Amino acid sequence: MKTMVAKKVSLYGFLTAAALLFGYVEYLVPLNFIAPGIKLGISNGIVLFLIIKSKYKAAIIINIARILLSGFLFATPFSLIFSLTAGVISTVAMILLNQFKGFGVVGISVLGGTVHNIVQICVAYFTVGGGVVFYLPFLLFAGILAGMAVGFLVWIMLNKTNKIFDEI
Amino acid sequence: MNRKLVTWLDILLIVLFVILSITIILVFSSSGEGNKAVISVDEKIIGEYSLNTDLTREIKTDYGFNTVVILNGECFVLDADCRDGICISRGKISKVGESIVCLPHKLIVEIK
Ligand SMILES: [Zn+2]
Repeated sequence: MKTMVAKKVSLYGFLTAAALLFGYVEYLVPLNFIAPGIKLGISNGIVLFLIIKSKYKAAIIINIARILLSGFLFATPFSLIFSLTAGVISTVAMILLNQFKGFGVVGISVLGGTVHNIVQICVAYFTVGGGVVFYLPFLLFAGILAGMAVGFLVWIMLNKTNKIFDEI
Repeated sequence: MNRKLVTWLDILLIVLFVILSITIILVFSSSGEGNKAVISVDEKIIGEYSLNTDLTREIKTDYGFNTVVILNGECFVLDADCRDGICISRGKISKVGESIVCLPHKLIVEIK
């Protein structure tokens, strides 16, 4: 029993650290030359990985932990609100889509990416103003492309990793 | 793990999002190509011209002259003797609500 708990805690810690690391790599190598604020969201891949394995509690906890920690490490309180809102809502959206058998990893990932960006635009709309709506189509496209890339990466992850993560 | 990489439903979802983006672009970017250029001086309309017919008109007033050109559905000021030349550098307009203003000559060209 004790070893089970220890195993769980270490898995949570490992995945949170991995998500943080991916996020940090993206912070260091920004894709801003495509459009401001564009991110691939590899760290969201960890969350997607857990969702497809139906580990919803772990997905939500690790995502919130990742966003809070990276917020304290390299973000402003303002951008923390942005990423926390978008992160939680897109996670819930992916969990909902995972209830349907007909969707593949890419579909769930694309929904996560687009919902994430739509929520960010909505938050921006209420804080900055209406002008940001023009930006929505580009962020939608970005969400689709990033979602496809992350979905593909997660699909590889799902097929390469062994059963160790099933115990989370 | 039996979830597939991509399914037809995924593709449908992606297509829906692409359509949504294109719709937003269409709704916001072109609130409709205009069909006429309305030229006014001192807030009095001195002429309305269809954007479908190419034409060049020199508008001479006490303030000076502006050469307004309509070409291929777009309207622009080709030449003017105003001091700032802002009306010339404004470039081409064609969408509803767009306008060229020449403040020194009190001239406004608006697309309607
Ligand atoms: Zn002028």
